Amino acid sequence: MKKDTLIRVVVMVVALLAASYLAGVLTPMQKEISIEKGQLTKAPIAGLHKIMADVAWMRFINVAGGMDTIDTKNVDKISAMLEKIIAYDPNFEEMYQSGVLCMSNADPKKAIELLKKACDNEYLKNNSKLPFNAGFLLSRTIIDQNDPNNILSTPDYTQAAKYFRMAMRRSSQPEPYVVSSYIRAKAKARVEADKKIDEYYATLAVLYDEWKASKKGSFEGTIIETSSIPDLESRLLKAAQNAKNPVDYDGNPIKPLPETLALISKVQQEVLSDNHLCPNCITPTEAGAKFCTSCGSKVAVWGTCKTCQKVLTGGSYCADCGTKNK
Amino acid sequence: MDNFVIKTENLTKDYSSWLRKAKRPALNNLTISIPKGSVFGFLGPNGAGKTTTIKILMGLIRPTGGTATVLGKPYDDVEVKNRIGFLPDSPAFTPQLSATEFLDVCARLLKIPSNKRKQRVQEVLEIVRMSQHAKSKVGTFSRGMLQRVGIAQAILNSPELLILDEPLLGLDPYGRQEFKEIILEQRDKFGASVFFSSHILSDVEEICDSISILNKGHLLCAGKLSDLLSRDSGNGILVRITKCDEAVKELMTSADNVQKKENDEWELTFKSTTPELDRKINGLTEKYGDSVKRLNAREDLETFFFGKIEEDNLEKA
Amino acid sequence: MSEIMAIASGTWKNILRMKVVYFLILCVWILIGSAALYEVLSMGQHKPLMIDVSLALNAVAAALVVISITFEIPRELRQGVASTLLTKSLGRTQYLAGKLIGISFAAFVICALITFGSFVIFSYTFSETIALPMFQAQLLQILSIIPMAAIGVFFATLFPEVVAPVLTIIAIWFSYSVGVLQNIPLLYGGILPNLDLFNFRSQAVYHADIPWSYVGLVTLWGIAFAIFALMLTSLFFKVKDIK
Repeated sequence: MKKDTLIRVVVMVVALLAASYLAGVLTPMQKEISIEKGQLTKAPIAGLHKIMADVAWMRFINVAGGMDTIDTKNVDKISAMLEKIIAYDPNFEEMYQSGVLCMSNADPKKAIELLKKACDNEYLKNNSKLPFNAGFLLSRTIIDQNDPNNILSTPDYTQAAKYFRMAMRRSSQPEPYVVSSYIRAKAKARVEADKKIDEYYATLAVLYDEWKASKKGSFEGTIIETSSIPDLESRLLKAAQNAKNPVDYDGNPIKPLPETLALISKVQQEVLSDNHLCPNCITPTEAGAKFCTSCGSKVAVWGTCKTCQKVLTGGSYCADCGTKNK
Repeated sequence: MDNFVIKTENLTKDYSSWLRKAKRPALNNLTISIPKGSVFGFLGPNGAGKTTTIKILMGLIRPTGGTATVLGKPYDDVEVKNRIGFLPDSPAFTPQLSATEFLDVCARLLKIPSNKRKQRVQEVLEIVRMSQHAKSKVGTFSRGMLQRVGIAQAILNSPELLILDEPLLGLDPYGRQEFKEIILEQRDKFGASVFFSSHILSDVEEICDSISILNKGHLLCAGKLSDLLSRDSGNGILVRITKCDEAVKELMTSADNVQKKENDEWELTFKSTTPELDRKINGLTEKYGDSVKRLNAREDLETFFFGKIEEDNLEKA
Repeated sequence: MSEIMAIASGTWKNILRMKVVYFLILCVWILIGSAALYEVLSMGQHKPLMIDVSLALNAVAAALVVISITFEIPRELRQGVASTLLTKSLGRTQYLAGKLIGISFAAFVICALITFGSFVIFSYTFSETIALPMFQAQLLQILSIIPMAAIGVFFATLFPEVVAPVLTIIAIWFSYSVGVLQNIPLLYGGILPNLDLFNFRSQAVYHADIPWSYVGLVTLWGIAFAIFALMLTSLFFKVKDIK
């Protein structure tokens, strides 16, 4: 072999080894940076996945927009189109938010499956709408539009609560409807699990557990589980009030369960002790009131001067007699 | 280095492809030596192997057998190319570059120092009369203009050896004349040796001092042009008669060819001599003195060339 | 090096002086700008669409410039331009290296112009500054030209101009579609090119930063692969008869 040929061969082998080594280093690095790579379709489309997703998305809009309705008869086509978009771009946010909801009445299970996928997606981890939508679909009974006897999906409150909770966590200030949906789903899951209790009890219990969890976290110095429910105490108060005066589906008052009453009293003692509530109807009482304005029950008087019994208007001294009260 | 600028020994080239394994011989055991300072004409009909030989000498194709040295170095030596000027048979250059830019690229490849490059490029453009087209894109040039740029890039480095493949092709008569002057100037001024192939035999005859003829890859003959042409005329003679009609009349009947030249001069060619013809010519020489001259006959190159090729073709047939 | 740069400068000048190149750039800019019109058709996804279009078209433009070399080298070999150059004191590997550098530089300039134009259009349309990942994705796209050009030179040298562009397109296409073989580094990324290492088009849309160490390493990979491909090409080119 001539000298220059030998040099070429040596340089070629060294370059090959260097390229192979670098490829070995870069491949896992790329997987770390671009997590969705592993989920992309293996179809040979020259790395043009993203633009193909856009094209598929616009085609979906065109096809779905041209349909009178999306029902069980044509949902497979829509579903296949959405699957294709995911294969091209698993992070396509708008597809999950709008596209999936288009088919939720026709194939809720598929819609939920896609939304669950979206919720597990690292890129979409800050999107609170996706888990809310998943929770929303999971908490509904969906019936085939073409055949009322065909129930397409039944509620799974446990799962729904999980996704509502995820939606709450992903938002720094969760919307009230998200919080309410979570509490409701969790309460219904409890009722399903324990047939002896009713929704009033379950709702109060859910909120009480949340409150306990939040206290536990802060008391022990380390956060084990803190509640992301805003206005937890006022919600507890409202839940306790409702539980104290329950009504049936027709709006007729019914008798609260003994467990409920026990829980209400527990909540009153532990959570709402500072709130000056009527012991009967759990309505907050005003300073100086001797009776509840809601139910007329006698209530403990508060916010009055210890000398002249006049209602204190603020500051440290009574405005009427000048006694220092605090 | 010895006195030869190009030396080949049994140079052989067979073309074959991956698909067609059958070999197509292009050059067969070519052995030639080109002396230093000569203008060497490399002749042969189409497909004789002239371009193949030139491309081997320039390292563009690899021989199947034999050896070749150029300026004392192996034919594939890269550095020796700095001392050679080469013009391919149909010159083509980067179409979007101007003549100046293309020549600048060539000058850089020839390692002409940057401070002299610009000036040298202008000089050669002047030599080939292309100064007015210096800024024009090469892609817009005619065949003749390309040929001129081709010569310009070949003489850019004032080479010791010029290898030119059909340099006069595509040029008008003026261009051909200019080119011949350029070629001879390279030899006379810079001592360059010139090796070139051509189909225009009259031009070869005019400027070459040595030639070789190639046919179907075989070398038919090589040597000094004058030697070859005289040698090949055999025992033929030429009688030149000036202002002496009597002598013309006496010899005309036995002559093979009679040509009347200017100033009452006649040339009579005899393919072979006989004792009787010798006596007759000697008698006329004695009688008319300098008016009758006996010379050895010399063929023109064209006749010589066709004779050689036909002879070879007949032999091979 | 001077010889290599002489060939390189001739190559890039030859490409960058073609009017069709600027027509191509203009068409790409128009197409990128037209993405803004897709607001309704894409249900408000026109912004990511514009980013995607600019990256995809930049990739196509890069591939087109590389493919142009698969016409140029065989044409130079056929027409005799290469004969003229290679009969100067220029090694065949130097000729190939010059072609590789020239085509890469020309493609860099063209892709950089497309990128710059796309950023201007994007900023003007959405009144937004260019996020770092957008810049990085485009930069990687431009850097991918190095191995792409090496692939182009390889096929251009070994095959005639009828076959070479087709083979180059197929090679580039499959270099981006690495699939399962990606897990075998010596094969994919070594012997076979893995251009998908430069593919971060999603990052540009989702604004996920790419570490600069990755950008550096992938550039090194591109150079190492280009050297490997160049040496391999030169082994064949060295024994090739230039007619």
